[in-house]
Amino acid sequence: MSTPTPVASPAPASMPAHSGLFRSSRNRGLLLGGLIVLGVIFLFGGDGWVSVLNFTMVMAIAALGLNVLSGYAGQISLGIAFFMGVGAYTAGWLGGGKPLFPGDPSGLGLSFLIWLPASGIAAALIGALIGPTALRLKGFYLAIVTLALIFIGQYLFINLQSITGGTQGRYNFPTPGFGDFTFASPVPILGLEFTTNQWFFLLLLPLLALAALFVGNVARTRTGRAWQAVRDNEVAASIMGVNLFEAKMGAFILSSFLAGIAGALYASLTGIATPTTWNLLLSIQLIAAILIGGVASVWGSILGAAFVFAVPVALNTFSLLPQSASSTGVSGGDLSAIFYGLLIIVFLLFEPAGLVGLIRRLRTASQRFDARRKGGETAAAMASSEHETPLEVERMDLARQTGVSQLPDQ
Amino acid sequence: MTTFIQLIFSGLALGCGYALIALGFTIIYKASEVINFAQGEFLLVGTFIVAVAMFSWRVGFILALLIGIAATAVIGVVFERIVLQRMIGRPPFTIIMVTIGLDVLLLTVVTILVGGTPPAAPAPFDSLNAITVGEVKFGLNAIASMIVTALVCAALYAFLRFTRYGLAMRATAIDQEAALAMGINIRTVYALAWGIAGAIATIGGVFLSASSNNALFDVGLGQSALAAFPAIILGGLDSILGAVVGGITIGLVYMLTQGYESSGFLGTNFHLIAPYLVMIVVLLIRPYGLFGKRKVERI
Amino acid sequence: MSAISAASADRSGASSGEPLLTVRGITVRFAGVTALADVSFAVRPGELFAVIGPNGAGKTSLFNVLSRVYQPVAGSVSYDGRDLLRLKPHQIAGASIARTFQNLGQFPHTTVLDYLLLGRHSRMRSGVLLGGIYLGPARAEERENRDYCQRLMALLGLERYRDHPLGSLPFGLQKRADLARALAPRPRLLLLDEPVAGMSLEESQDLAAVLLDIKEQLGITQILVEHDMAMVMGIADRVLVLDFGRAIAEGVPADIQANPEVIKAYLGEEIADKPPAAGAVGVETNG
Repeated sequence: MSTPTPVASPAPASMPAHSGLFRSSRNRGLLLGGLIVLGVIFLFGGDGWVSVLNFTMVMAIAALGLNVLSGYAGQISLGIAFFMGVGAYTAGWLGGGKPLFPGDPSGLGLSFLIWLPASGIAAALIGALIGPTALRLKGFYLAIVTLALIFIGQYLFINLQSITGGTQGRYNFPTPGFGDFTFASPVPILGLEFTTNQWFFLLLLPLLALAALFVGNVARTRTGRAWQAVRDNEVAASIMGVNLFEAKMGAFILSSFLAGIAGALYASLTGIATPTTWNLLLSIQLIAAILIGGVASVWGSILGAAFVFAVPVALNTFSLLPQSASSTGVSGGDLSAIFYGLLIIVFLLFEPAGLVGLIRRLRTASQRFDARRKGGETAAAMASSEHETPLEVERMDLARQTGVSQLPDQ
Repeated sequence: MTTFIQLIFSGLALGCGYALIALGFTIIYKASEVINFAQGEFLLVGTFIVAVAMFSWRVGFILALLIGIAATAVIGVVFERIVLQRMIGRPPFTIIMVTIGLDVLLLTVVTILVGGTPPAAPAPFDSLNAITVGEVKFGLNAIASMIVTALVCAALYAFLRFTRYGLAMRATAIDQEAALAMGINIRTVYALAWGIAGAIATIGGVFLSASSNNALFDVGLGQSALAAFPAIILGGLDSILGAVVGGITIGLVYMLTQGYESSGFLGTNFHLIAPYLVMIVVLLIRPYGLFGKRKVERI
Repeated sequence: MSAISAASADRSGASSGEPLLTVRGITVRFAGVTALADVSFAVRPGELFAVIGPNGAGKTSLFNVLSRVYQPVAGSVSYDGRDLLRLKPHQIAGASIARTFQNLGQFPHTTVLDYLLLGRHSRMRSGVLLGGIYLGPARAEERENRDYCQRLMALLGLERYRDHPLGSLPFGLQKRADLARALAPRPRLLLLDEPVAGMSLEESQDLAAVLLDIKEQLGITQILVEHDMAMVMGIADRVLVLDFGRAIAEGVPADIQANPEVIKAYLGEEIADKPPAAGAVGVETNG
């Protein structure tokens, strides 16, 4: 390249990653605040709430996996529940101890450091097996094949009774632990006594953080860019050098890995799984989570999981349900299903970028508002040219456009 | 031998139910390129309304059926107007998701309304009524199901072939812009498609439920209608003939595997996944279904 | 325009020696239409080669063959001594061939920087694992390539728009960003699909100057599909004319402009045979 001519606005020698997770001090502040809130709940919230948080965190890991495949790489999949099941049963088989009653399958009693990664790897291997066939299909056809996965999975889970316990289910799942210490029968450490749920919390938070960091990193490097290009226009992406097969397989495998881990943790947390646990509804809930939280976004996965899985419990616990509802035998689960069925529709209609997009909009709007207040015209002009990107372009519609670009109407 | 004939008969009856579901789906897709994941729940809602009309309002079967048809047609049109109109031009993933959202919504609403006391399953005849030939029972409900399916197909064919609106719908399916240029009111076509699909869904749901010999209305009806998806894929998304062929094939596969699976080695409930296995095999050879057409992506 | 002509004054003998790209007898057919019929031509290294022709002449089909999106039913393409037709679309980037797009609606939400980095895909290596860990090779690779893309943006006047999504840019800038993206992997052969379509006169002139810079300063071979006759004749070393899928003329711009076959293809038979007399009325024109 010829030497670059000096430009008007000097660029920093090496630029920050474009959506680096904690770049601005504002983001750091929010993160700190969030951690403090979590800490308070952890210490004083009571076991019920801690358990809700745990459940949410496990689902957030699954949501991250789903976002990798469907959000970033744009491959529709209804099959995530299947991979979670694979992970769960792998964990049970490798890590479980003695059966809890006749008919409950036994386990090999292996260490946590083996069964957790293995559950991810098992799911990833199956993903690698299925991938080449499934990923040849697109759109609706892929969706239905992944739907078929769920049913085939349930069939397999029902019939492989020695591992899954058949229709009566499996109760023999391991709890995490190191050596003699397990979460199931916790001992005080450094004089601190924690409940099983609190120990889980201390484990799940760093695991989620690790998963989030990993996915976020992949998203902002070469592979993540390739995935999004594949999502937006496959043919153009391949002309630019993206190997479509490798890209889709990579997404599928990573997604399955995370789903497997999440499944194992889920089973470990709840202590029970039947073949119907890994059903279509679970997949749909996770899809709802990423749609509501924000497609192709790490924070979106976490927020969405919180929304879909924690809010219904909150509604139930705080008896926010109308009294008449409970008399007809409506559960919190039912109402929340209506709730997020509606929300899927509403979000897709008005805010396809999900909660994350909503927050971004509010922020930009409040920044403009601040700028106007402080400096009058010049500041407002600067602020709006800084964020010249019209708000409407922030919407992250998924997948392929076939032709002239259209700015969605405001 | 008698088992075989019995299974074939049941398979055909079931297949007719699936064919109707697939038809409704195909009509929507042909007219507006939308993939309606909620088609199964349209069945559910329609059948539920028919059940309520028959047993709570004490209305005769035919009238109840008409009420159900009208109701689902209205729901279809309303959804199309309020939601789908605003999603024109959005990528397919988004639209599929919106229909999944509708699916969840409808399912939950019906579940809540049913509560703990489901009504009886609506059917034209008592489920025990049958014509018996030798050892084979030809259930009246099943026969009715097949006759109605044939009638619906004929009516649909006549509509598409011989009426103005049918022609308009076919034109829109081939090329929307050209149809617009010819002065065809696309909005009407869409509304019509969704309305027809809703109507067919109710008919399909009622007869599916009837031929399944369940005494009570089953909230899982919509989910069992998911088995229609392999039928849809087999037939290709946009072929009417394909929908019928696909539906009947899947019905036969389902019944035959269910009938013969007690010979052990295939385990429990193999028949539930047999349709999907058939579908996967077909997709391996023809990724766009047996009758479907390839899509071209432009750069 | 004079600036462009002056700069390209010495272009007739751009280079000599082995052609970089040799196309022989390419025929493309689909759905009963013959898009290309027995097209042959050769492009020399460092040349600015233009392909022109009326609408529907098959220019984009030709590009699609070269970028391996279409498979011809007959013919061969030799690139740098290798058989190009054996490559799959994603392999042409590895062969140092890059292409710009005619339609730019594909990636509306991608920022300019990310788009350029996407262009660097074939020159980068980190995958899921390295990318996920980030610290180490992936981070170094990111930094290096971001710096490179920053300089590339500066070269093309795009640095202001670094973080803007492509969809928010005016059309001319989108085209420029697409060109930057195609240049990002330092290709040997650049395929430009209607680079000035939709641009104003001034923007076209700017772009034409850029293409000449690319030729003279970077030595990249360019094949250009275009409708803008003035621009093409102003900067191209040699021109190929397609009509109804057939090659009807090939040569330097001056020859092409005078070629009766070419005139016939563009303007219709009657006019080609009878040069219009001043004030003549009733000259038949073809529809």
